[in-house]
Amino acid sequence: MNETLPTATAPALRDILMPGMEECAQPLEGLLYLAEWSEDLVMLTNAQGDIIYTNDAVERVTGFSREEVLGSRARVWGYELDSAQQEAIWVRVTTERKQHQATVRNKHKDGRVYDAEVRVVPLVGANGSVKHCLVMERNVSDARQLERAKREFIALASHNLKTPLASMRWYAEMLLDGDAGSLKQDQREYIEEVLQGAKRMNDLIHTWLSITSIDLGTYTCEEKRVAVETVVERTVEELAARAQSMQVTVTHTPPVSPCVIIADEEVLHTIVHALLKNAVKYNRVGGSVSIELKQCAVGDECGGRVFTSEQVLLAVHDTGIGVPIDEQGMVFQQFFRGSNVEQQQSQGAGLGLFYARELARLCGGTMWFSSSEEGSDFYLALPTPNKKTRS
Amino acid sequence: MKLLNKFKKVLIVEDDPALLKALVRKVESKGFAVITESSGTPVPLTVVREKPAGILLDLMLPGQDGLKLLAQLRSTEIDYKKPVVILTNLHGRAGLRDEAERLQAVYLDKASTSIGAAVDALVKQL
Repeated sequence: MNETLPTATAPALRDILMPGMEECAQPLEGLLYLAEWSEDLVMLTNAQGDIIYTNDAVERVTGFSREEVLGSRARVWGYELDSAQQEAIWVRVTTERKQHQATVRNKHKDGRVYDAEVRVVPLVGANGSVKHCLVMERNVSDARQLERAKREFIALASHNLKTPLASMRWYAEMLLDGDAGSLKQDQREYIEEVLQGAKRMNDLIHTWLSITSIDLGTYTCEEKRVAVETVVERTVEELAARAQSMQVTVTHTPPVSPCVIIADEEVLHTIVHALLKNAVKYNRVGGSVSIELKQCAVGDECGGRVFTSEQVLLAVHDTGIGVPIDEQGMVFQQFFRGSNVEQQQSQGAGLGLFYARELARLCGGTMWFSSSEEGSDFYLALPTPNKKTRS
Repeated sequence: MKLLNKFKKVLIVEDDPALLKALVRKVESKGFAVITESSGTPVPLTVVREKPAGILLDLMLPGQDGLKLLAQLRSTEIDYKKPVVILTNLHGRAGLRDEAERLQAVYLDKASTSIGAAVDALVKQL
């Protein structure tokens, strides 16, 4: 990268901090640029605390303009600490040359109080004295409020969508149980359809809520030791009817050694379900799906990859329609559906794999595949407990 | 067996009228007497006064968080020791299930559970 970064945007900071350094190294130029463009408030004071530089963010964060702030004392302006406390912090920073870091309540020019993360960093000169201090401030109130609003949205959406659904389901079930009298055959059939519709809707809502919380960044997992085999068995059972209707045989070899990971069981179930459902759905009539679960050690080659740490590997092989070669790079994208799928006329929003891989990533795992016209092999690798690192 | 059950009372706490009616019908069909509350505030007093044999408890109630309510019922103040089944429509809040289990309650998602299974989860413990 030999381009010269524009220097016109950060003259003040550069002139103050680096007089005579005409041959500024590129990284330093870049950092100065970064300070100027930061969304957080970045200020420079002299050793006494008078503000001699401030970036553009000052007005947005504090409400005060550059002109109002320049020349004033950093510690008097804004903080809700009394002047003695502020003086003490300043002394510690400049004489002991220690950084100060705190979350404080600060007052915006318009009067509203907000939470701010503040850092005061002494810039020590060559002779050991503190000539300048760097003051940085970030408004965290907005972020916290936004976080809270997102979580409340999910909770409310979930509750409001699922309550009428539960109602539909339960009343349909009570009719089928005969609680309101016995039913004729076609009455039974019609109500079964209502019930199936409600169940399908519930799955969709569950998927949508999970995706939304991933998108909003509020996704949380409840993690415990999970035997992957249990989840695989449960999912195979759930998809048995569907597989049967397509005459697809699903074979599953239980693992030789127990495959245990630390994860959220429901999340794992969602991932495995997405993989198996695809393997069945995009299969040929009379085709097959085989599922393999095993523990892979360092150095093992599985699914075309050599493992550099101990992982549990789930492999799902199908004899389906495969993914066209020129589309294979897009398989995990959010709304992708293969062009060869249109011919199969099956329903799908293309959310399954994107979502499954995102969830796998959130659990510290990885997902990949290989595919041809004869079928596809999808792989899910998850770290085993001792070796897990949060991504 | 059914005659004996009539002496056992089940408390159902649920704010949605349609869901409440369904639960009442189902629990009564199993031969139990039912008392109901549509909000959390009167519940502690109701539990002390009526001493229900078991409780079906909705989590999101007007006026009170269902888990806090359960914690209060399980605390030494009221010391309610009978079975409780929590029915909820809240999605993916980490720790809710664990918290419910810690308070000795079964935790079920309403829309994902049949009404028969939801009621049986309590009835089989009575």
